[in-house]
Amino acid sequence: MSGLRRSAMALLACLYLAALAAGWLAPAGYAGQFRESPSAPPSRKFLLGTDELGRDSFARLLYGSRISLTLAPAAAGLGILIGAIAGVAAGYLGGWLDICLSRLADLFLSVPWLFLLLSVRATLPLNVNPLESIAITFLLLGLLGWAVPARIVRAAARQLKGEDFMLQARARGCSPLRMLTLHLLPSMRPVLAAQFWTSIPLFILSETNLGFLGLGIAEPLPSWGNLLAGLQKIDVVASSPWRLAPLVLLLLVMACFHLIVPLEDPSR
Amino acid sequence: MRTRLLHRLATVGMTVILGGFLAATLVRYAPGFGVDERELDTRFSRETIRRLREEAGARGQGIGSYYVHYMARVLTGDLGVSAGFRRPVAALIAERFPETVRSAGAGLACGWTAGMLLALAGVTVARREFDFLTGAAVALLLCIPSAVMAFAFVFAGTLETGAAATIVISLVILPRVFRYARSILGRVATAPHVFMALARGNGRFRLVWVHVLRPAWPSLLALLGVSVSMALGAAIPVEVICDSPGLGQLAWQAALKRDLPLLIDITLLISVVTGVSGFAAELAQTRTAKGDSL
Repeated sequence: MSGLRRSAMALLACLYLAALAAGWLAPAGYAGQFRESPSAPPSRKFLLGTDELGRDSFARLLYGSRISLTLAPAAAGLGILIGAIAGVAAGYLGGWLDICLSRLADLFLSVPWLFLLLSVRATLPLNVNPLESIAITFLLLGLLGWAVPARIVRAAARQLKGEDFMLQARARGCSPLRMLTLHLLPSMRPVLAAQFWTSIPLFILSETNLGFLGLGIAEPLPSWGNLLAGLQKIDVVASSPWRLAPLVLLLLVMACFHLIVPLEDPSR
Repeated sequence: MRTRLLHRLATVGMTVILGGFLAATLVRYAPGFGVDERELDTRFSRETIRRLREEAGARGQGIGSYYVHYMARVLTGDLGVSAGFRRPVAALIAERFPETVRSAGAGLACGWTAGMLLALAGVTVARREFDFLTGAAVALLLCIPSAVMAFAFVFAGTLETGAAATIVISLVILPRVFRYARSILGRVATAPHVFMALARGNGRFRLVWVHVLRPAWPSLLALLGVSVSMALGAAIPVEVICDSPGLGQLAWQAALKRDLPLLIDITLLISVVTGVSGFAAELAQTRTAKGDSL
């Protein structure tokens, strides 16, 4: 592992730990309002100032990071799980199942990622409470993001199916379940890990874009999407550049992911 | 080859049929389907509200018959009336589609040209410093959400909305095209036939054009098909932030108004465009491969 990659992982770990310790680092909380100091500049009390409602921007950034950095991997895990099941079923079992699952994956991939997200998100209620909005946003990402992993896992499963060790296992009378769990899935671990690490930054960016468009996580819960949506007030950003902190943090995190695994998925 | 192309064409057809079914299912089972909020408007008479309920009742049929009616309407060009805009969907799409074609098309062309030129320069120059600098610039572009990028251009305020949308879409396309093209070209550039051509004293331009670019062309054409999908996907946040009246902005407005039939029609249209562009890329790929084999 290169030094740069190791540093990126360490930085990500530090950021995540800071986000987890948000309650201790920023006791004001993400929703606490200091009505006597709205839009305050950075100070000892408010490290990144306050927003127009008097909420501590540093606390909101930490809590927002906690949500994005916890749920994006969870959504990626869900997407990979569904993709792995579909991909293994299609690639290993083949036949009609392969044809049907491949066509379904083609269908999902034929619609640009954001259009797909927007369409399915709009079919669900828009005025929901913040916790429901989190569940909807990240479940959607996980449930709709299965097609790319499925396609890659399918190709890997087809390739592995004909390998010597698989033939040997079959010749020894291994049951299909044992072949899958003991031989096929462990051999696919690198493929699945790569897909997992590639999906996380894509899901973070998708949540950010949805939040920027007002279809992400609902206030008062913070997320990188709705924190960045605050940048749309041009005059406020121009007079108080510290409001760019969420963007800087997002760039830093994305750069870390970028160093850990190259973002090479052109279909999203 | 012909079988493969026919298969691809059949896939596009299947996408429309299956996509239409999924779209119809989404609309039919979306919470609030068949309920018209105008029923709460006290200005409407009882008779009007009864009519509205009748209309809703007509729409509240089973998924099978709903799908058949939906597809029959779509095939005759009747996409229905938008509840949010109170206008025919076909007219709305016809009005907005050219703007998206213009911004996404121009963005795609600019992004592709810049990405390819950078990748070719990387292969030609073949220096670590150049690769590091371009790699860092491209990585930075990949890290920024397209909405934020669009916002930065609006913030700068030096460009008119259409031009800003085009530039942002090209900046979304450029890094992805560059990375793939650089990887493909880099792989071809280290192939034995290139060393042989170099040893034979071929000029640098001829080397890149004939021995590197031509063999890589089929893979690059496949990337072109995927780029259309990327450009259309980027059109949503870009058109919204840049206030460019295209399909992306219309889809966003439809989502906010929960105008599902309109949104689904737009998504189906976009999936057809993506499918057809993939088919065209594959056709071009086949022709290129045929030309090379001759």
